Amino acid sequence: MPYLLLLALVLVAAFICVQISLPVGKRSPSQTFLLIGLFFLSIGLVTELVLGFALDERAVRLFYWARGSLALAWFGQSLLLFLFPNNPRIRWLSIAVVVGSIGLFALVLISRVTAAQDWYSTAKPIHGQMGDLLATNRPTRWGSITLNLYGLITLAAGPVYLLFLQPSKRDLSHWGPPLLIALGAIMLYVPLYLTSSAPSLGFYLVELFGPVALFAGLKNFTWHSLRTGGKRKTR
Amino acid sequence: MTKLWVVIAIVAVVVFLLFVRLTAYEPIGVSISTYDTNAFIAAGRISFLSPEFFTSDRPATIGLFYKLLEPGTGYRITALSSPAEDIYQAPAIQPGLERVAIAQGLLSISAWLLLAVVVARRLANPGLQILAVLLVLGFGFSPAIAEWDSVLLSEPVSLFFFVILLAISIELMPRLLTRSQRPNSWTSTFLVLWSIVSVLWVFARDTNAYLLLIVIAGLIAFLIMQWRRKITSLPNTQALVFASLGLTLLFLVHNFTLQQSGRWINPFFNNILHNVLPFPDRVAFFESKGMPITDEVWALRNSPGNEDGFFQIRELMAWTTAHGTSTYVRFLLAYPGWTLAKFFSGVEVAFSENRQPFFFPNEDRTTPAIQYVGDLFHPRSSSVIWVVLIETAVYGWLALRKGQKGSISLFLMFSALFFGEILMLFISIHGDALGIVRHTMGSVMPLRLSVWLLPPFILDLVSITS
Repeated sequence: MPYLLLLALVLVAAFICVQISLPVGKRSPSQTFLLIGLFFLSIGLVTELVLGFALDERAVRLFYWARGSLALAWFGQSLLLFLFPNNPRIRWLSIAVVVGSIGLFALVLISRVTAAQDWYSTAKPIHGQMGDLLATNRPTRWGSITLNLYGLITLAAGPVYLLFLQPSKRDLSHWGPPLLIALGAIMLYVPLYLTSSAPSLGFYLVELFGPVALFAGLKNFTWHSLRTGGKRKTR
Repeated sequence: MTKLWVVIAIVAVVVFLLFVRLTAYEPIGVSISTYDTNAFIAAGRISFLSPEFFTSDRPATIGLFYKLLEPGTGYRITALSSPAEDIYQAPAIQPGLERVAIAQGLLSISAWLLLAVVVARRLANPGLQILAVLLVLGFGFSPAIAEWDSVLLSEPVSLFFFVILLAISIELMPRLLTRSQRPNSWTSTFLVLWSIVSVLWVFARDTNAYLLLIVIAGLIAFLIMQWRRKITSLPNTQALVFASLGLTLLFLVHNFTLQQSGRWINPFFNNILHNVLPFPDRVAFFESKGMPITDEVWALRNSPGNEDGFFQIRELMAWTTAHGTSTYVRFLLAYPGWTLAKFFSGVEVAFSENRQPFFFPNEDRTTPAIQYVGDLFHPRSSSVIWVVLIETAVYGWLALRKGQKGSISLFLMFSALFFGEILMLFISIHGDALGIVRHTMGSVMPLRLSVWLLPPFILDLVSITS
């Protein structure tokens, strides 16, 4: 059901439209990181669709860089910046994420496609074939893993941390958005390390609902917190 | 007011996709005929003022289409395909029929452009406006739709009338159901246009009329709501009664002309051949209802379908004309498990193909890349139904939560469309045991379209409060 990938791309493109149309006053660094994370996700989905048609070396590299390494980290940084907007350490982390992303781009550029291209299958998701297909060196692999883990941990732990601090923990409506964020993060993370390359309904659903859950969670979380005057740490 | 850059971007998208539409497929005017084309030509030669025009063996709108376009020299079929018999010819300019093919091509392109513009107009977010135009035209100009414009059948005519009807409905619904937009001369114009296109669409293919039942049910629900509690944002009671009666009349007239035409009899015999005769208990059921299953009928039981022999059995024809439809409906009700199972398996078949089967496309023009993108827009998976259901529910939930009356009215329209398409799918699957893919196209295409149409509307609602 590759059409679900196109639907995911349409939804991510629509999320980008929503983000871009935000009034200038609401364009905080957190929202900017979210917007760029969505751009990375859309690049990932476009390249996935291209690779579903034919093998293209640039598309493989772009996928590895944008979707395979950066998207989660940028979403995670967006959340951290929302939670701690004035924290100088978080701002340094933002710079580190930007520098890491650019550095990784240079590393991915010099990576070569291996002989595995001969048995590349357009019918299978790129995720499971990426390991054999792209000859990444150690700094590239570790850079990618670090950024992904950073994003996953931030997205899973951040909302829980804030919920723990909030007084109205019994209000169930508080739990929805953090759960969506954590679920979305896991859904974006797990397919990256798929060992099986057989496409399944579960794979397509994860690819579709991962971005939806993450965006819905992040947007609702920020709105809800703003509406209820949720305590944001402003150290 | 739409910003200039948005207009420029939309124009750029339209120009690019129009270029693809005009260069990637058979040139407009080139066509392929089928055995049905002869029947359309014959239907078009019946006087419009005679009752036979509406009760001929082909739908009246198609007859009218061929009548209006027939040149003085008449039509001549020079390229004919019949996939069932493995007869394939290349599409060609057919004398006289090139006018039908040109009309089909131009009206189809215009209909999709109209829908794209109307959807963009209904959205507030500039980025989503551009995205919506891209999606609507990407869908409408893909091989699954564009290739049909070269096939001389009722499907392409029904399709572009549906697209025009949908565009007018999207423009009209918020005008009718919101207080902020009181009826004005534009609303009246759209109402008249909607009525005309509805009639043309209903008479373009026989299953189309069943969508009206869902619309009528919705109007009756509105009437009950008005009666119990005055809701000022709804049209007044007289308007609702008038609309309900008008649409009911349209449905009944269509049904009456369909029954008189006898064009349901061949599909009925196909059903008897494939769904009844192989099963002794079902044969017994029909015999108990008086169906004369004589030795002559029994001798035809191995026919693959579209069997002319049944029409020669006078006794059988007399019974079928008088009791055929009602008995088949009773049969479906008497075997509910089979009826549902057949529907579900039919849905899988209905979604299994997305291209016309009458000619092989020229791969130099319709490149594999275009076919790949077309397959993405027209999925061959029945999961589309669930996706549309979820999208409609999310849209309704957001519209109700935000209290946006314009969006609520569009949600009601999309809901009616969804349930109407499912009903049409049911009727198409049980209406004829043969040609399920082609017969269900009128309901499968709108369901596939809804997959891409709803996300911009949903995100536009999200965008309003962000």
